[in-house]
Amino acid sequence: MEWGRAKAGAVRGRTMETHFIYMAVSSALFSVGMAGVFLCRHFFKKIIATKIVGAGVFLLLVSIAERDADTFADPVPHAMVITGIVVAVSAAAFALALARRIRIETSRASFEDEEAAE
Amino acid sequence: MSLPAGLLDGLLALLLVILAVRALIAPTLYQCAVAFISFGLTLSLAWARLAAPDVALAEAAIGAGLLGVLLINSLRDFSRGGDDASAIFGKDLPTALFSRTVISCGTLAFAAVLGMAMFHMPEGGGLTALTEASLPHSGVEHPVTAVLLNYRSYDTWLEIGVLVVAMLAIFCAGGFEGFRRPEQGPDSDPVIESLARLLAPLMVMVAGYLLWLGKAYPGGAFQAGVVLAAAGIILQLAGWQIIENLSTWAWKWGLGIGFFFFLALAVSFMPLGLGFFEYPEAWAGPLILVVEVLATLSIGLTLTCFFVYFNGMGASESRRRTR
Amino acid sequence: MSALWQADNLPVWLVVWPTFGAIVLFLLPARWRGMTGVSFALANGVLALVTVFFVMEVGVLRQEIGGWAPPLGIALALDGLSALFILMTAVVGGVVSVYAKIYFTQVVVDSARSSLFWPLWLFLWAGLHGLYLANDLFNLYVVIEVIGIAAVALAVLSGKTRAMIAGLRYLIAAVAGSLAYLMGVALLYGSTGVLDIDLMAERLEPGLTTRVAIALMLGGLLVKTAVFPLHFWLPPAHSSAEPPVSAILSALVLKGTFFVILRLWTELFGVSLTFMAGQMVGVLGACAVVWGSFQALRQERLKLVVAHSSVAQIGYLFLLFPLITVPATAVAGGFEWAPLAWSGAVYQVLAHGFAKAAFFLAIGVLVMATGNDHKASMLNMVGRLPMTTFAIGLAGVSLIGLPPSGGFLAKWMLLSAIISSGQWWWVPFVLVGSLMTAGYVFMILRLAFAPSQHEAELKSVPRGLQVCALLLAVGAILIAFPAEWVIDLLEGTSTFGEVVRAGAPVNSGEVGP
Repeated sequence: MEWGRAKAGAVRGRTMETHFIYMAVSSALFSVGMAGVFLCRHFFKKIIATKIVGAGVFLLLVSIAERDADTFADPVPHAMVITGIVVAVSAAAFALALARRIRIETSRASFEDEEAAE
Repeated sequence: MSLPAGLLDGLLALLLVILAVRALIAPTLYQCAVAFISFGLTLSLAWARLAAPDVALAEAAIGAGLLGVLLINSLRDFSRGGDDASAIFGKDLPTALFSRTVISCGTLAFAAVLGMAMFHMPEGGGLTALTEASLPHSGVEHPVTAVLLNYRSYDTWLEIGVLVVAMLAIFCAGGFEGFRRPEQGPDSDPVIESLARLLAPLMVMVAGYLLWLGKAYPGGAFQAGVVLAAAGIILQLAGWQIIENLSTWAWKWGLGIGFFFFLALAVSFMPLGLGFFEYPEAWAGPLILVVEVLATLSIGLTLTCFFVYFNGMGASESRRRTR
Repeated sequence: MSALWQADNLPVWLVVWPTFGAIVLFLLPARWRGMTGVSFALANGVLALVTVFFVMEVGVLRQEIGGWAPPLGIALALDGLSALFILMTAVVGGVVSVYAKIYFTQVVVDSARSSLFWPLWLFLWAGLHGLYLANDLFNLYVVIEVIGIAAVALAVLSGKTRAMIAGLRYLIAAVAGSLAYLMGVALLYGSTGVLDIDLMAERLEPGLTTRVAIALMLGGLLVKTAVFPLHFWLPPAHSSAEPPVSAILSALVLKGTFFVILRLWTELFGVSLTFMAGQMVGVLGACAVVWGSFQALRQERLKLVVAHSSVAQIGYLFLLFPLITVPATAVAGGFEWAPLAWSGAVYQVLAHGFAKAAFFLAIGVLVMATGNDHKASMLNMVGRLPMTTFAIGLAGVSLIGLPPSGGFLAKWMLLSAIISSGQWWWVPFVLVGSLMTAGYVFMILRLAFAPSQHEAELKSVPRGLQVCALLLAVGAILIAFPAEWVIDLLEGTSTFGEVVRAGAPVNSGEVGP
C-alpha cells in the first residue's frame, strides 16, 4: 500500500499551506451554510445556504485531492465533486421550483409565514 | 509556497467567506443572488488554485452559471410586492444582539471543531497512484475522465439518473404549465436575435470541442452539456422556443437517451463474460466517447428544460394575473 | 449467453431492472403507465424472491462493477440483511403499486401529472435496491440523493399547496442531511484514502477526525430517518402526500436510511464508537418513542396521528444501538442478547413497514369514502366499511405490539434483550410507548364502533383498494410466524451474523467511559 506516497514529497513542499488554507475555508463555509439552512427564513436564502454547505464539502474534497497530489492531483475526489455539483444543482433547481410555486400560489416566502397564515 | 501565491490564497479565502455570509444576510434578494453568483465565480478561482480545472469548469458553468440564471429568473416572483429578504433572524426575537452573538459564537465553535478535525486528519494517501497505474487500460488519457466514465462509471450513470429524476420532480412541483405553448409568440428583441444567431452555433462548437478535449484534458460531458444548455437558453431568449416545439416523443427520448444508452452499454458486454459497466479494453475509448456525446445531449437538453420551465412558470403566472 | 444469467449477476439485475422500468415508464404515454408499472413491480417481486433464496443458499455475494476492484472501482454487496430489506420492499411495494394503479385511475383529475408517479416510484425503487447493495460511501451518497429527490417529488405529486410547503421543508432537510453525510465521507476519505466500506474498516483508526466524521454522517442520516428531535419535517410531509405515496415514504424510505446507519454502525464505525455514543443514540430513540406517541395522541386528523406515530415507531429502532455498543468489560459473562436485539430491531422494521403502509392505505380508502380524514369520520365505520376498519384494527394490533403480530415479536425481543443486557433504563420507554400507542389506536377503533346520529352518504370505494390495505395489515400479523426463518437468514448469511456469532459487541476493542 505504498501508492500515493512515493513521488509526493517534491510537490507537497509547495502545496502544504495551500490546502490548509482551503480546508479552513471549507469548515467556515460548511458552518456558515448550516447556520443559514436552519436560521434563514426566506426560501431563497435557505436554498442558497444549502449551496454554500455544498461548497464547503466540495472544497474539503478538492483540498484532499491537492494534498494527495502526485504527478497530478487525486482525480477521485475531483470526480466526486463534479458528480456532487450536478446532484446539488438538480436538488437546488427542484427546491427553487417548489419555492416559486408556493410563492405564486400563496405569496408565502418562508415557513414561518405559513404558521402565521394558519 | 511563495509569498504572492500565499497572499492570493489568503485573499481568495477571505473573499469566499465574506461573500458566503453576504449571500445569506444581504438586505435584498437581488443582492443575495449577486453575492451568491460572485461566490460561485470566486470558488472557480479557488478550484483553479487547487489544481482542479475540471471542477472549476463545472462549477463556473453549472454552479454559478446555470443556477445563477435560475435564481435571477426566480427573483421576479419573489420580489413582487417588495424585495425585502427578511433578515437572518426573525424580527420577533427581542434580543437581536444577544441571539446574534450566540449564533455567531456557535457557528465559530462548530467551524473550529470541524477545522481541528481537518487539521488532524491522517494522510490516507488517496488513489492518485492507483489511478495513474490503471490509466493506460481505461481508454482515455485524462485521469478525471477515467474515474468518471470508467472506474466509477456506476456513480456517473446514477448521477445522470438524478438529472432525469430532478426533471420529473420539477414537473411535480408545477404540472406541465411551464411548457404550454404560449398563445402568441413572445416579443423577440432584434439585438438578442442576431446575437443568438451568432453565438448559438459558436457555443455548439465549443461544446463539441470541450467534449473532445475531455479525452485527454480537463473538460468532458458535463461541462460540454452546460455549454450546450447555454446555447439553448440564448436561443430561447431570442424567442426560438425549441423545447416547446419539440414533439413529446423527441423530447422524452432526448432527456432519457444519455441515461438509457449508458445503461444499455453497461449490460451489453455481460453476455461476453464481462462485468456490469465493463468494456473490452480496446473499445473503451470510442465507447466512452459515444456515451459522452449522448450524455452531453441529454444534459444540455435537461438543463435547457430547467430554464425554459422556470421561465414558463413566471410567464404562466403573469398571464394568469393579467386575465 | 450464460454469463448474463449467472446468479453472480443478481445484484446487477436488482439495480438494472427497476431502473429499466423507470425509463420505460418515462417514455410510455401516460395512459399505459399504470398497467406497465404494476407488471414491473410484480417482476421486482419475483426478482426479490430469487434473491432471498439465492442468499440463503450461497451466502454473502460481492460484485465488482466495471471490472475494477475496490478501492479504484465500486463493489456491490448482497447479504442476508439486504435480501430481507429487498423482500420487504418488494412485498410492500408490490401491494402499494396495485393500490396506486387503482387509486390513480379512480381519483385523480390530472392524469398527466399523476402518471409521473410511475417513473418516479420505479426510480425510487431502484435507488432503494442500490442502497441495500451499496458498499461504497460515495455511491451511498448518490443513491441517497436519488431516493431523496424522488421521494420529495412523490410527496408533492398531489399538487396541493400544503404538500408543496411540506415537500420543500423535507427537501431542504434532506439535502442538508446528505451534505453533512458527505462531509463525513470526505473526512474519512482523507484519513484512509479509500471509499469502499470493507477496506475503510480495515484502515480506520479512532481519533478526533474519525469522531467528527462519524458525528456528521450520523447526524445527516438521523435527519433523513426523522429521529427526534430532527423529525420536524416528517409529519407534514407524510400526512399531505397521496395515500400510496405516504405508504411508500413511511414504510420504505425511512427504513432505507436506517439500513445505512445500521450497516455503517456495525461494519465501519466499530472501533471508534464508545458506550456513550450508543447511549446517546438510544436516548434520542427513547425520546422519539415518548414524544411521537404523545403528539399522535393529540392530533385531530387521522393522517397526522399516523405520521406522528411513525416518529415513535422509528424511535424503537434506535434502542438497538445502545444494546450492541457496550464496554468490553461488561460482556465478560457473554453477549447473548445481541442476536435478540438484532432480530428485534429488524422485526420492528418489517412490522412497522407493513402496519404503517396498511394504515395509510386504509386511511386513503376512508378519505375517498368520506371526503376527509378527521377523527369524526371514523364514526360507525365498522358497519359501513368493515374491511377497512378490520385492516386498521390489525395494523393497530401490530403497532401496539399485541400478540400474535410482528410488532409483538419485535417489542418482545427488544425487551428481552434490554433486560438481559442489564440496561434496564430503556424498559419504561418501551412499555410507556406501547401504552400510548394503544391509546391512539383504541381511540380510533372506539370511534369506529360508536354509532353516529347523522350519517353522510359514503362514496363508493373500489374493493381492490380495501383488499390491498387488508393484505398489508394481515401481513403485519403473519410475519410473526416465519420468525425462525428470518433470523436464520439474518444470522446465517449476513456479515451481521459475524458480530452476533463472535459474541462480541461492536466496540469490543475499546473500553467505554
